[in-house]
Amino acid sequence: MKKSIGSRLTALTMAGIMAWSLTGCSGGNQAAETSPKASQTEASGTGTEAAAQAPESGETVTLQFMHDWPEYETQFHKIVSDFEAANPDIKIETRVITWDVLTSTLQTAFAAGDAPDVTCCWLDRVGGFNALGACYDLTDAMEENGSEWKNEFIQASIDLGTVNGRILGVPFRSTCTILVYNKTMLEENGWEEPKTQAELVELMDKVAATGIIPLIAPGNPDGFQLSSLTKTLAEPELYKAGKLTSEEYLSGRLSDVSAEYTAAGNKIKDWINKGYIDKNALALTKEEASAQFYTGKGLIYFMNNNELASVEENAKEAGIELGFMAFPPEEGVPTLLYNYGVDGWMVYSGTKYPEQSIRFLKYLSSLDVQQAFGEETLSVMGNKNCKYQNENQNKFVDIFSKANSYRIKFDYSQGALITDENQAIADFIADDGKTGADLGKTIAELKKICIEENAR
Amino acid sequence: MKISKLEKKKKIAGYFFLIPSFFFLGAFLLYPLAKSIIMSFTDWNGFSPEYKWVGIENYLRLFTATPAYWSSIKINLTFALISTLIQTILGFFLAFAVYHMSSRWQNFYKVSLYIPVILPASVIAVMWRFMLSPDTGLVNTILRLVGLDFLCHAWVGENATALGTIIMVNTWQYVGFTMVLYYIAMQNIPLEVLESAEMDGAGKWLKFRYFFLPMTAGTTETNVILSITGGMKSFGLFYMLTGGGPGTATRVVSMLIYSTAFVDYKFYKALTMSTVLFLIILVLVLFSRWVGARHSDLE
Repeated sequence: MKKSIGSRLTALTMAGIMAWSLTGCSGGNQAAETSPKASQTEASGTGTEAAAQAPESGETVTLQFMHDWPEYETQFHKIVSDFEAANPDIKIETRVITWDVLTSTLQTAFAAGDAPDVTCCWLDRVGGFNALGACYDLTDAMEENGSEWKNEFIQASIDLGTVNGRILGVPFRSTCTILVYNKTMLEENGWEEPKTQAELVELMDKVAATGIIPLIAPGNPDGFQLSSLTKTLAEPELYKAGKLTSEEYLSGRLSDVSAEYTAAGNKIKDWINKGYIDKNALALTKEEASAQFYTGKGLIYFMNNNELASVEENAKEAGIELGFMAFPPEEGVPTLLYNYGVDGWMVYSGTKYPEQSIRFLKYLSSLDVQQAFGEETLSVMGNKNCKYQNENQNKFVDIFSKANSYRIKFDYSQGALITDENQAIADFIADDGKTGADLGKTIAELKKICIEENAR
Repeated sequence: MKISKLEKKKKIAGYFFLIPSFFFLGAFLLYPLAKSIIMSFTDWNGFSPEYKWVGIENYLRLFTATPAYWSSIKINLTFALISTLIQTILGFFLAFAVYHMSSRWQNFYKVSLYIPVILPASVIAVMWRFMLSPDTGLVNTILRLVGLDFLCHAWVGENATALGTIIMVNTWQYVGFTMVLYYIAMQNIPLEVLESAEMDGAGKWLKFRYFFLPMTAGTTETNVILSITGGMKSFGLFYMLTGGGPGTATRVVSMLIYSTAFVDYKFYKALTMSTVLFLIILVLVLFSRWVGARHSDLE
C-alpha cells in the first residue's frame, strides 16, 4: 500500500515538473513575442523613445555595427579605430557576415528585436525592412544645416534609399554586375569589343567556333549568374514594351511579365544550345568560373565592380589584359544596368543611440574615409566628390553615369521572390522539355503571388 | 528490511536523476512540438505577436495548392528509399566480408570505412564538390584518362545525375555505420551454432542464408528505420553539395521549410509543412516496425 502511494506520488511529481517546464517556456515566449511589437511602435515615430534613453554626457556607449565585407576587415578595423579615437564617448563592436546571408541575418535580427544599431544593406531593399518596422528615419539628419550631409551624395543614390519621402538609407558605394573580358585574347584573334547585342552575338559565334567559351556564367547555386543573365535579357524586352519605366514596375507591383521572360528564356536556351554559354554552367560555382576565365578557357565573364582589386591581381598573375563593358544594348534600347545598386547603411529603429549612430554614419560617408576606402579597395564610392587614380575605376564611373538603371524599389518585404525566380530560371535551363513560354508563365505567377501576399 | 530500504532509496535516487531529463524533454521536445502544431493552425508570420486562428486552411492549401512541397517530398522519398536499400545491402555484405577477415585486416577496414561517418557534412560536401567538378574534378579526369569521356557529366549540375550523385555520396558517408551495426550483430551470433552448422556440412552460402541473414534481422529493421528517418530529414548534404539545384531538382523538403520560414517569413506555412513531414515519417517508421514484427512472427 505504502509502496503504491509512494510510486503514484513520484509519478505525479514528475508530471508536475514537466507541466511546469511547459508553462515556464510559454511565459518566456510571450515576452519574446512582445519585443518586435515594441520595436515596431518605436519605428512608427522617429525614435523619440529611443532618444529619451540617450546616455548622460560623459558616459561611453557601445554601438553594434554590422557589415558584410570580410575581405575589407582591415579597412573597417582602421575606420572604427579612427572613429573611436576621435569620439571617445563611443565604442563600436563590429560583426562581420557574408553578403549571401545578409538579408536572412537582418530579417532574423529584426524579428528578434536584436539588430545592430548600424548595419549595411542594399539601399533598394530598405523598403522591405521598413515594412518590418526596422528602419530609423534619417531625413531630419540628412536635411539639417541646409542638407549638408545629403548633398555629399548623388540624388539617384539617395532616391534608392528613400521610401515614401523618408530617407532610410545612406549610400556607401555602388555595386553592379558588369562584363570583364580577356582583352589579350580578343586582340590576338582580331576580335573587337561589341557595342550592341547583335555584335555580341556575332562575336560569341566566332569565339564558339574556336572551342573557347564565349560567355562564362556560373549557375551554382540557385542559377546564380545564369539567372542574372536571363533577367538582363528580359530588361530590354520590358523597355520595348514600355513596362520598365512604369510606376507599377518600379514599385514592384507589375506581374504581367510573361511575354518578356518568354523571349529572354528562349534567347538564353538558344545561346546555350549554340555553345555561347557552357552547357555545364548550372553546375559551375563562381570559383570554377573564375578559373575558366583566368586559364583562357573563356572570353567574357561576369564580375561585380567591387571585385576590381582581386580581378586585376588575378589577371596580372595570369598575364592577361582586361577590358570592361556594360552588357551591350539591343538596337533602339539604351544601355541598361540590370542590377545596379548601392551598398549602404541603415540605422535600426530600435537603437538606443540614434544620435551616436548618425554620428558614425556621417563619419563613414565623409570624404576622407570614402576617398581612402575607394583608393584601397578600388570601389566606386557613394560620396560624389571622390576622385580615383585607377583607370578601371574611372571606367566604371563612366559606365554607371552613361547607362540607365531601373531598379525596383520594394516598399514591402518580397520574401523569397528573388530566390524563387532564380530557381525557376535554373529549373527552366536544366529541363530540356521546358520552353520560354513555361518560364514566362512561371515568373509572372511568382510575382503575382508575392504581390498578392505581401504588397499592400 | 534493510535490503528493501536500500532498494527504495535507489529508486527514489533514480527518479531524482531523471528530473533534469524530464525537464529538458518537456522544454525542448514536447513544448516545441505542441506549440508548432498549434501555430500551424494560425497565420503567424514568425515575428509579429499578432496572428489569428485559420483552422485547417493551411493544411488544405498545402494539399491542394503547394506542388513544390510534394515535389520535395518525392525527392526525399526517392533519396531515403534508394539510399536505405543500397546502404543496407552494401553494409551487410561489407560486414560479412570484414567478419571473415583476419583481425588485422578487420581493424583496418572497420576504421577506414567508419572515418567518413565522423567527418562533418561540410568537409564531405567541399571534398566531393571538388572531385565532381565537370572541368577539373577527379572523377571526370579519371574517366577521361581511361577513355570513358562519354561518361563525363556535370554530376551535380544535371537533372539526370544530381540526385543519384547525392545518393552515392550519402552512401559513401554512412555505409561504414551500417557495416559496424551488422558486424556487431554478426559478432553476437553464437560461434557454437555456426560450428555445428559447419559440422553438419553447411557451406558459406547456407550459413549466410540460414544464419547470418535471419539472425541480423533486428539490425536490418533498426538500420532501415534510421536510414529512412535520416533520409526524410536530410538537409546538410543537399544544402552544401547542390544547394537544392540544379534549379529545384534536389531541393528536399527541409530546404523548402527553411526557406519558407527564414527567407519568406511564412512561419505558418513552414510549421504546417513540418507537421505533415512528421506524420509522413511516423507512418513510414510504423510501417517498418510492422513489417519487422510480421517477419519475426513468421519465423
